[in-house]
Amino acid sequence: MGLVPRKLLGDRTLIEQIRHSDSLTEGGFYHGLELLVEREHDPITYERFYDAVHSAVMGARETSKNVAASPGARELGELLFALLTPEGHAVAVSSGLVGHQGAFRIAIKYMAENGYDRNPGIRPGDIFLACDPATSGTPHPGDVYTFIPLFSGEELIGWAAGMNHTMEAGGSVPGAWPPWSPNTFTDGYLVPPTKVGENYEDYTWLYKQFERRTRAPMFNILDEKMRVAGCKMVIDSVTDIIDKFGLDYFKATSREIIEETRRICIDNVKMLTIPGRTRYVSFRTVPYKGIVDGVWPQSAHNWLLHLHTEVQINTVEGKLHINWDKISPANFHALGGYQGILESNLWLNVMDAIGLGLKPNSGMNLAVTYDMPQGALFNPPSDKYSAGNPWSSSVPLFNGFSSGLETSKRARGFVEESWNADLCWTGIQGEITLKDGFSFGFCQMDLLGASATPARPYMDGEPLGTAWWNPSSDTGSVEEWEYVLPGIYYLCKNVLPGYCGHGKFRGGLGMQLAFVVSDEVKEAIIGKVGATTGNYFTGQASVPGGSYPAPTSTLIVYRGTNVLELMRNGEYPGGIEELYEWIDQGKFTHKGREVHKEEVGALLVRPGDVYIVVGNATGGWGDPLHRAIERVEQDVKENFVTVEAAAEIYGVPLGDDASGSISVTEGAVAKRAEIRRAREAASVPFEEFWRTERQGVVNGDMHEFVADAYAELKGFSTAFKQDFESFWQLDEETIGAEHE
Amino acid sequence: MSERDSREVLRDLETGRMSWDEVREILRQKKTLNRFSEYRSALSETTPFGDRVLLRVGEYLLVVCEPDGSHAVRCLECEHDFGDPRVNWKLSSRVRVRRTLEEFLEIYLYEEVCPEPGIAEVREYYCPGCFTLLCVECVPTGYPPMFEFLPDLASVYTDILGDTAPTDPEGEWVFEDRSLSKVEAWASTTTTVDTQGAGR
Repeated sequence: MGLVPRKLLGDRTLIEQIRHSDSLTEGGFYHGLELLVEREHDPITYERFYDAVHSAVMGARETSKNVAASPGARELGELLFALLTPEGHAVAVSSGLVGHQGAFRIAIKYMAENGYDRNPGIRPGDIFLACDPATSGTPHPGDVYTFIPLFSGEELIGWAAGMNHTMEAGGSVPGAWPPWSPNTFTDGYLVPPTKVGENYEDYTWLYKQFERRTRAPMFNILDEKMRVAGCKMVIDSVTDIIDKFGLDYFKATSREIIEETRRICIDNVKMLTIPGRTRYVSFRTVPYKGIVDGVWPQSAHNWLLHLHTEVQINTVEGKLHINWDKISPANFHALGGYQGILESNLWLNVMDAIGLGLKPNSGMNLAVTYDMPQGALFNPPSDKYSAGNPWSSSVPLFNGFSSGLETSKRARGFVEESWNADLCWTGIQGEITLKDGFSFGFCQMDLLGASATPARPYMDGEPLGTAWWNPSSDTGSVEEWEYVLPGIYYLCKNVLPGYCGHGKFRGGLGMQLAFVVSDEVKEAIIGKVGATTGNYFTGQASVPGGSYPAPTSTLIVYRGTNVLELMRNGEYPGGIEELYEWIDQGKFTHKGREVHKEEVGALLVRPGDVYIVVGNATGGWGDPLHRAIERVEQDVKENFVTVEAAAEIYGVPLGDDASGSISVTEGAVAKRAEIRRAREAASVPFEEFWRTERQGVVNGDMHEFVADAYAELKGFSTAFKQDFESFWQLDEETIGAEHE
Repeated sequence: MSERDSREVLRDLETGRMSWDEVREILRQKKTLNRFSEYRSALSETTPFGDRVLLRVGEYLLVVCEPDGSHAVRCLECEHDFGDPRVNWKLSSRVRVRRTLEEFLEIYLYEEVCPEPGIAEVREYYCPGCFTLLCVECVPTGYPPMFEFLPDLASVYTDILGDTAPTDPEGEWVFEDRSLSKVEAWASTTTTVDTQGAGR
C-alpha cells in the first residue's frame, strides 16, 4: 500500500468521486437523481432503511455523550453524530448541534483535494480530526469534528462524523469563541483535517497537543474519546444495516434520502411563501480601538458590521436565493468566518423556516443558493483571517434570512408558523486560577443551552424556551456549572423584569446571571460573547412583528464588593433590582463598576468581584397599545413587567398609576388615547424626517464609528453605495455645493 | 386544517384567543395549498376591505385591490392609504426618532441594555391616520429605512391565485422597487431644511 494512489471508490479516487457527484448535481437533482427509484418501488422498505440509519446516529449520540466530561456535551447536549456519503453529504443526523452537518463535506473535500487517500492514506479504523475553520468547515475554534471512514471491503462507502462544542480552544483569550483575535494565528489550536489515530484509537500525540495547546485538556481529551466512540458505534450499526439491506441498496437509497429532502424543501417554498423580495438587517460593533493598539496595530480600529440579507423568493419554482451584496468586508477582527459558518447557519435556518415534513440532512443545504462576495465578511481574501467568533455575527445575519421567510409565510396565511426570527444566544467564557495554582479554561453555556423564544403573531416569547440550533438542548443546572467551575458561585439565575422588546405580544424575557468570584480563586479572566450582543444596537434592526426589537445584552462588573462577607452571613442579592436597592441602602458596597455592552475578550476579576451577565431577550410583535389589558395586568402580577412600563409602554395604568375613580379598562382607554396623541406630537411626516436626516448625512453630522462604516461599505459594496446615495439623493457635487 | 371552520380558526389564531394546545394541534397538521384562499377569506371578514384584500405585508398593513384595479398598502385599523406596494410604505408614514438615553429608557427600561446614544437611533413608524405603531427600526444615524417586504403581485395573481396578472396605467404590472420615485420628487422640490425641526 504505502503512498500509492488509491482508487477508494471503484475506479475513482475520492476527489474524482466528489467531482463526479458535483457534476451530476449541477443538473438540478442531487447526484443526478431525477427519479427516486427505491422510494417509488418500495416506500415501506425505504422508510425502514432511513429509520435504521437515523437510529444508528441517534443511538451513538445518546450513548457516547456519557463518555464526555465536558458539560457542554454531557449536560447541554452540544454534540452531533452523522452518517455521510463518501463525498461528505449528510444522509442522517442525530439531534444536537444539527447545523454542522451542512459543513462536514468541507473537511472531506479538503482531504480529497490534498490527496489524503494517498498520503496519509484512508483506511478502515482511521480517525481524522479537524477544527480549522478555513480548511475544515468548523465554524469557530471551539467546534471540533471527528471523521472515521466507512468501508465495504476495499471500497469507501461513507463516513461516520461526530462533533461537539468543546470547552476551550487555546486562543489568545480563553474560551471557545475568542472575540478578540486579529487573524487565524490567535484563534487558538486549529487543526486542518488530520489523521490522528488508527484502528479506532487516537495517537498519543493528539492528547499531548490538547494538554499543551488548550486550557481544558481533560475535557478536550474526553470529548475526542466521545467522538471516536460515537463514530465507532455508527460504523458498527451501519455495517449491520448494510448486511441486512444490501450494499447496493445502501448506496442508492442513501442518496435518494438526500434528494427527497431537497425536493420537500422546494415544495415547501412553493406552498408556504408569497413571492417577492425581503430585506432585513442587523448591526454589530467590534470596538478594538484602544484595546489592542499596542500589540495588533492592524486591528486598532472600531468596526460597525453591516449584516444585510436580501432573500429573493421565487414561489412558483420553489427557489430561494440569498443576496449578500451589501455585507461588510472581511477585516482584522474575530467576527468573520468561512464557508462552514454559512453552511451550518443555512441548514439551521432552512430547518426553522421551511423544514416541514422532511428527513433532516444535506438536502436542505442544496435547496437554497446564495452569493457571498469575494472579500466579504464570510468569504475573506485569504485563509489567514480570523474566524474566532463568527456565531455572534452570522446568527443575526441569518436572522435576516428567516425574518424574510417569516414575513412571506405570514403573508401566505401560515400564521401559526410565523415568529420574529430574532434568535439569540449569550456565552460566558474564561480561565480560572485557583489559589493552589491549578488553572483551567472554560465556556459557561447556560445562555447557550436555552434562549428566549421570539414573539409570534399570537403569543408572547418565552424565556429559556429554545435552543433553536439544538433540538435536544438544556440550560444545564447551576449545581453542574458550579461543580465544573470551582471558585465561581452563582448569585442568581432568573429572568430580568421588563427586559424584552415590548409589543402586543412581547418578546421572551431575557435572563440575568450574577456571579461572585470566591476567595478560593487567585484570579480569573472572564469574557462575554453572543448573538444577543447587539452592542450599541438592538438585536435586529427591525423584526417581522414590527414592534420593538430585543434590547442588547450586557456585562456589568462590580469590583471589590463586600458580597463574600454578606454570603457568610447568609445573604446575597437575588438580581439586579435587589442589588441596586442594596447599593442605595449601603448594604452592598463596591470599589468600582464597569458596563460592557460590547463583546469582551478578557477581564481580570478577583475574589469579591461580582459580574452580571444579562442576555437572551427577544423582540415584540405588534403595537403594545393593542396588548390585551388582562395580559398586562398578569405581567405586572408576575413581575414580568413593571407598573411604570405597564402605564407608559402598554397604556394600562395600574397600582399607584391608576385612578381610583375609574376601572382599569377605562383608565387604559384614556391612557392609550393620550399615548396616541403623544405619538402624533412627537412624530413628523417621513418627508420632513428625510430632509433633516439627509442634511445630517450631507454635513457628516454623525459619530466617527458610523461615518467610518459608511465609508468602508461604500468602498466595498457598489450596491450599498448606490442605495445609500440614491436614497439620500447625494453625489459628490451635491455634497460639495451644500457644504458651501 | 381543522374540523372547525378554517376562517374561524385563523381568526382566533390572529387575535390570540387560541390556547397553546390548540395552536400545537394546528402546528402538527399538514399544510395545504388552499391556505392562502382560506386566509384571504378570514381577512375579508375581519377587515374593512372585504374581498378586496389581497395579502398581508405587516401586522397592520394589507395590500388591497382598489376599485380602479390598482393596488395599495392600507392600514387595517383606519384604512389609511400608503400607496403603491412597490414604494416602501415607511415613506408615507409618520416617524418619531429617539436619539437620547432618556428617550431610549422609555422603551428599554435599563440603561445597560439600551442602544448607544450618538451611534444608534430608534425610529418608530406610525400610521398617519390612527397612530398605530407599524414598525420600529434601530439603525445608525443616516441609515436609509429598510424596505422589509416587496411582494411580487404579478406572481401572486398568476402563480398562486391562477388569475390574470394585474396591470398598471402604463401597461404590464412590473415587479420593481419604486421607492426612489418618491424620494426624487422630494428632492426636486425645495431643499431648505430646518435643522432644528421636529424629527431630530
